[in-house]
Amino acid sequence: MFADRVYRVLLAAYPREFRREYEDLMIQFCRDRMRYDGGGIRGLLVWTQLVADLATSALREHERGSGMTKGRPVIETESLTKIYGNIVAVDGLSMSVPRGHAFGLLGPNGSGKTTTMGMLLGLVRPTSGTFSLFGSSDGLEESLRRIGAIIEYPSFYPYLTGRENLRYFQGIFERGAPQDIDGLLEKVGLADRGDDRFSTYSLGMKQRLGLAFALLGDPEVLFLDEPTNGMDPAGMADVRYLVRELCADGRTVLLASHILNEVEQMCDSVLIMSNGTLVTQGSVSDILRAGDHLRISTTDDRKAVEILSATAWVEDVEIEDGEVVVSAPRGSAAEISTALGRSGVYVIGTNSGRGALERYFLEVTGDEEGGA
Amino acid sequence: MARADVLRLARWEWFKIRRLRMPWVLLGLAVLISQLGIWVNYLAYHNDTVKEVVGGGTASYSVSWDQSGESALTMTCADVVNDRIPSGLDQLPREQQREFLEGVAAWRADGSCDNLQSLAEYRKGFTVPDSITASISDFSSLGPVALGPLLVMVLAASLVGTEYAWGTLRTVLSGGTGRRTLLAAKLLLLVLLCAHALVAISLISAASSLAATVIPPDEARGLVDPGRWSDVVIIFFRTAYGLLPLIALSILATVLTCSRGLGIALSVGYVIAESIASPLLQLNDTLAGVADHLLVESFRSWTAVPVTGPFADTLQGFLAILAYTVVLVAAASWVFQRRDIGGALGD
Repeated sequence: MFADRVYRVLLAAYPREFRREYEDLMIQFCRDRMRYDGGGIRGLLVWTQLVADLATSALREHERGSGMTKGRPVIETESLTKIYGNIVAVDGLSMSVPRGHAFGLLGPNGSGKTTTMGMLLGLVRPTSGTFSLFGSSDGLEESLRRIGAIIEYPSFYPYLTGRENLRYFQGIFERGAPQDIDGLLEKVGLADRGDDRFSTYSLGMKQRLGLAFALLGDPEVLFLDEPTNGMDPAGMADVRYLVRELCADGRTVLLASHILNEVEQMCDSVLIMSNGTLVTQGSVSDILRAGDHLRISTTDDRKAVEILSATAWVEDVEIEDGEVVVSAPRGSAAEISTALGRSGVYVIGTNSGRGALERYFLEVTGDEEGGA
Repeated sequence: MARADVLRLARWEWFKIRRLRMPWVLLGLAVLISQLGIWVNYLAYHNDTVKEVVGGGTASYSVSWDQSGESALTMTCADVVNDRIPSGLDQLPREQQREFLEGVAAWRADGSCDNLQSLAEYRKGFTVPDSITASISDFSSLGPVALGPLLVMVLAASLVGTEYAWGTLRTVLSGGTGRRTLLAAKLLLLVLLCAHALVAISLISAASSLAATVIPPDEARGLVDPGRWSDVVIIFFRTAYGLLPLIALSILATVLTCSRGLGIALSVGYVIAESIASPLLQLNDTLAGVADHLLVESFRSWTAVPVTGPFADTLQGFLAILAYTVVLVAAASWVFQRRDIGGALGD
């Protein structure tokens, strides 16, 4: 079959180990998708989109080189625990961060994200449990030389300029050459303010300097804790672009955030924490799929539930708070509307809700108040 | 902990702190303290009033042989120390001369003029090399509380404490800088800063001496007076070495409290507390032995041992300073290695 051949050509760009495990599954997924979406012009459009997605994804995997299945994970923790007096900050956290991924640590304030990062960076002593960086639990200081990190709040010497701060840290870490600093300041948008004292910077500018600091010496792994905190929308977009660019270059980014949209847009995988414990872990797309709900108001909600329950590609449907909540693949709003319309039920309002991840996050962390 | 890493870190610490105002202010204060002695000696040498005020020279012995007091003969401490015969003594009968001189001898034997120096000694106080030796001594011990060492302790606590206050310790350690390496680099830098401060004090003292010998045009005896240059070198190294346990104490107090302010308060507070407690302990025969071996007392003894003093005293002082330094540095390193590092704590 021609379509299958196209899929196999595109999948050839993936690493061998990945193909061995997932190739058949992915081809089956493509076939199923086409079967549900039918033929005609619309089917052709869906197929084109599918191939384009596959090609983009394949290209990224190819560029990443080291691939997600190559070698050991960059960061691994095993039952990592930190207890402060009576407070369990992190409770038996086991996680694995694959190389070349943007990995999100997501959780409400006080969920243990920063403590976890602190332990991985040797700033906080674990009460129990182990962790390894780059597959080795020995020589933490050596491993840290391959990591760029900015934790919680960018802390620099207030009486030094941005440039002097970078020069100082470059010197003590032996990372890169003095001439790199101009490029870094340019990259984070501080070229004009590099010679001003750090104490005169706004929070957003401090974050930018923190990013430049983390990028010193072109590290293999970046730990970014709330990197867009205090940034303007342009700055946030820059960070998103930067993270994606770094991952495309094969770097690994561990990003802690309580801003769901940020994680959704930047990360491949995500680990959700609440009260120091791991709630769930997986790829963002899987989690989004698990949390894919479309809330609709119709002219007849009961009948709508009956119709959609009988539809093959709708996973689940129920009435909640006077709305019909439909679990279905992303982008299926038009199909749902069409299916209902054929039976004389009309959609009078839709609410996909901003960020499916957000709803899922609130569900799994039990933080219905929206504290995140 | 590689030596090269410590040296590199110390170099970059210098890059950082030389842009800070505080060390320069402390150096300025240290220089001021050390120069006081030179200029007091200079003024005392040239001005009798100052001399008498400074040395207690106004104290006098006086004898009168009649009721009106008109035939009274007075001799001040300044006369005694400088071998000046009071006018009128030679006109007195021999018996009265003998009586007066015996009275002066007895008065002097009571220690009435012990604080008063001769003119030659005042002069040595503002001419090299003794002016330099005296400046360094003044820096390390001025009055009942050693102000110079207190400044060094403030500097040590600030150098470590500001890293906690600004949260930069986390930034430094997150890049793979070893904790012991960082502490060793800070200790090394502090020792080098103290050594440089002593060099600065020595040079400024020499410049002051030059100025002091040039300002009065009638003074033609020159800049250099008899004295031993080797004493300058010995007192220099002795002071620098003696400051080590005080620096270590400040660092320990700071890493223990994770605070610049508390580090200063705790370490300086200890020095003051020991200065008060030590004389009280000396009242008891058993505790006097303990008091002699306390930290500040050991520092005082070490810097006060005469350059030509017995070798046993020098060795004992050296070992006491070494022991305190090793114990305090080890304790600071142990605590620093085990503490969790948080964000900016302020002060």
